[in-house]
Amino acid sequence: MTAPIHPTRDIRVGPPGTSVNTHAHDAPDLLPVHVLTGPLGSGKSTLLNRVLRGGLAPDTAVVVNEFGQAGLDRTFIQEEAEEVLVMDNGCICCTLRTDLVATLMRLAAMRDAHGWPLRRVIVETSGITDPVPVLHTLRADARVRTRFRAGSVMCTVDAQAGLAGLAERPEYAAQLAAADVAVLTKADLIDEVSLSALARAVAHANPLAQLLRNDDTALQTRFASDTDSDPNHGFRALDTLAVPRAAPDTPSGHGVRHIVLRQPGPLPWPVFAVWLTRLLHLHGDRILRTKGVLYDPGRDAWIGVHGVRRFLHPPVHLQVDKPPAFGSCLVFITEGLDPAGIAESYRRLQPACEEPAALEP
Amino acid sequence: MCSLCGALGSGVSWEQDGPGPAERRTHRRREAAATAAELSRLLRPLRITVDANPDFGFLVSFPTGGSQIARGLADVWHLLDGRGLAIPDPLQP
Repeated sequence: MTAPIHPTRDIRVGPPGTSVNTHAHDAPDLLPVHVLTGPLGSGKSTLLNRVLRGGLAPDTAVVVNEFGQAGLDRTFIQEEAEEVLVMDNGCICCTLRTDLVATLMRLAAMRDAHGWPLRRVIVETSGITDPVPVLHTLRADARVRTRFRAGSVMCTVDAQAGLAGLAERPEYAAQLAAADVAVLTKADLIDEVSLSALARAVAHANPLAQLLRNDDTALQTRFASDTDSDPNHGFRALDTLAVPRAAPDTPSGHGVRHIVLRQPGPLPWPVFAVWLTRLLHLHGDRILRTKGVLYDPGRDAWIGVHGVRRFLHPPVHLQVDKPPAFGSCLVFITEGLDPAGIAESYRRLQPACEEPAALEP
Repeated sequence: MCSLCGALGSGVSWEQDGPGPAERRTHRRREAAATAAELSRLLRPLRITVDANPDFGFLVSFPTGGSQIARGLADVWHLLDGRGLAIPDPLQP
């Protein structure tokens, strides 16, 4: 686990040229690090090759984590892009404390030295990797967090494997639940009816994930948005949180359930913070995702909250012209934990204050 | 960003800064103090108090006279649970 990391070639960042975003380097200059995860054989490397080869995400550095000294991904990706860093010391869960930090800081140094217009990093994990430790590494290391920030988690979903593929792999539940984006791969190999059924299953397992087909336009749009200057980036589409359910779902595969709390009253932010961090500290292993939009009466502001298990992204002060039509909203995805308990706990927090009247969108 | 945990430096917490640069420091100090007050309220039965400190986050003081530093709320929970204290579980009414 301690063998040095070695770049397969000089590291260069994505194909220059096609400009997707012209204001990517507005200060502060923290580069998003996206995590590409998904089961073995689900099409992660193919997707990555497509992104690199097609110029869908210019100025992108890629870090590949392989399990085993002779992993196939390195060879496969090198054929398409000669700008790949490989961590071949095993599962990234075990090596991230040293290898990932060293790799990212090497990228930062080379960017500084050569003036590369680096806009983002994609870490492709091995198929068995839990993506959450990667996010924690970005936060925990003092050097890394001055240069990088956690970006999106993207999870590939093998359409050909279908619903059975979702049910057969226990580790898949955590990978999919952590995803901000679920990319349907091999979608051209199945019919539309089967594809629609799979899409519904994915949405049930993670209603927070944006579901994309593996086509160039959708991918390009997604990557173009990761460095934009919209302060409401992750919560721009507030209605995505308004899942039309008020009660816990029936249990799905691997005990994954979700709950949408659509009428929580406003809370003083410190009260909410203490409650949420205590909840995640004790039960973060079983709370796969947390996402929501909350009204904070103390500063008369709407705040976006986003967490993956115990990893919490910095809250976002949303710049909304009017309150969301559905008011405050919190979504929890749990595994092996009845989300109704969270709902009841949150209800006990509610003070006797009123939320601003929701307006029609 | 919100100063959710009240970590006043560029710490490891998931909340930093205020809505605008001009008010950032004041905002952080105010939020940290409010968070410390909420923690103290929660921990009052254990006679534990929490104070916000502009340099390092939180100072957790125990009834025996000892104190420990925590950089954010996650640190506070680690610290308290490490001492085997009966801190409430939100899922246990």
